[in-house]
Amino acid sequence: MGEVIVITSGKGGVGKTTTTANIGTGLAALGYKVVLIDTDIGLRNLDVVMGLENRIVYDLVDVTQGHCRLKQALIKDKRFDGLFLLPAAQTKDKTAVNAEDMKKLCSELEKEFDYILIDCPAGIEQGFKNAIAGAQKAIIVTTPEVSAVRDADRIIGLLEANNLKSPRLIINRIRPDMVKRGDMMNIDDMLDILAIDLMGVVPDDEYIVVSTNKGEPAVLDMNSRAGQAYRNIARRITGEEVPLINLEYEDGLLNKLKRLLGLKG
Amino acid sequence: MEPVTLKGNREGVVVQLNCNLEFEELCKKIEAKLTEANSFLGNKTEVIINSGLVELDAGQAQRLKELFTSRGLGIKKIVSQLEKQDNGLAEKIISKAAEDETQLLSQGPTLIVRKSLRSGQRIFHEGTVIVLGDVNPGAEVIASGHIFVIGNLRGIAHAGAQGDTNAIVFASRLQPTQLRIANFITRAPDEEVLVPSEPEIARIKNNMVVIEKYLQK
Repeated sequence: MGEVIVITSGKGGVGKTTTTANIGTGLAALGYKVVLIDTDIGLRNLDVVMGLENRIVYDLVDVTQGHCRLKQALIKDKRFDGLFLLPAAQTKDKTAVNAEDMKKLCSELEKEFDYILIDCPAGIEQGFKNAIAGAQKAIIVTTPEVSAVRDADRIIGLLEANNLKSPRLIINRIRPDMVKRGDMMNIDDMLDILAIDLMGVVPDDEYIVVSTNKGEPAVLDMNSRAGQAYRNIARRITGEEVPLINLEYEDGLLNKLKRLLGLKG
Repeated sequence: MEPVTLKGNREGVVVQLNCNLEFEELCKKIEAKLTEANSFLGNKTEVIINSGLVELDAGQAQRLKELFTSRGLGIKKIVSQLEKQDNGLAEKIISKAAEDETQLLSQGPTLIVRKSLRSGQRIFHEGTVIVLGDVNPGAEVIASGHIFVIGNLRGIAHAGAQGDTNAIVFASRLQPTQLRIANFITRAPDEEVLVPSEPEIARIKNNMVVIEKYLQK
């Protein structure tokens, strides 16, 4: 039986879609069978980030309305055999699908896949309700901004009210240099308010923009710091214990020596 | 207080009873109310009965059940507010918080919330509220009596919401977005404030909301 995980945030633009694409690809790279579902009907993006836009024939709404079989709508990834995408419809809106449809869909996919990742739209309306309907677990994505953390808090409350207990947190786009200067919320500040388990911290990385535009998830780039963070998160999802990466930027030989001698944390 | 009030909450329709009345008298009032609210209740609705500060005995519960079934309604459960009170713990805290102000003891039934309140969550209660957890920014606690937060109060707290200027707000870490007592509204200063390191109490003194350290040295 597979695990259905919804990736949500409340606020838009914090990196839900990027996170879904990267974790999904990361899990597929580890050899798991994974399907990504884009529930952002009307504003679909996940297909673009995955570089699969030109392969879409059928979509989520076609499946739930019975215009095609589920198998026909699943798009196989170009890099991994075990990775599939169920794209959102672009010409409909969120009301084209309801919570019951999603539950049915998820329980069907569960039989065949190890991980079902649901990319949730921003907001707390119908699209959000659809996205969480079939999920067993939730991952909250937030950025180190007060507004994003506020929305994340609201989402956690709503998830709890819908019996999705103990969601886990991904802090995205953190800039260690700014945190160090005290110009950005630090990890502890956020955990203090949200009080949920931390699943990973993804540093801000210019390469994400490049990879998103090219449709090649950063998780596959061994030189990308964000990619490294996503690889670790994928491994944590499978239950492996992986320590958080050191966010400090590369800093000279002297500091490395000091660290070796135990003079610097 | 009305003998019978109907309220909707997340669990369903709650029938709030004032059991200080004679039971037979109360039954008549219920019948009258049910006739009046027929369209609101609909058919086959399962209601929750809240017997206030009185526990109903088995006979009375049975009688109520018959009364509701004869109207095509069901009873989901019968609760009393006694269950929400924690064996006088609340009163102990209050008496400690305001030793010489004994009138503070009579602030209605106490609601104990055993979880953190997150943004968008709102608690309204006629009486005193004790939150065993944090009140996050964007969350609201509104009480006609006192408010005690055994945790961080970062959201909005409104004590004495029905005009009781004796009401107080206590928090282990008092750093609210906004603090209201009766019809006084205060907010945190705009400049950066230090995080309080010990429990504090807000109350009205000389027509001003003042914040004092809870532990007197």
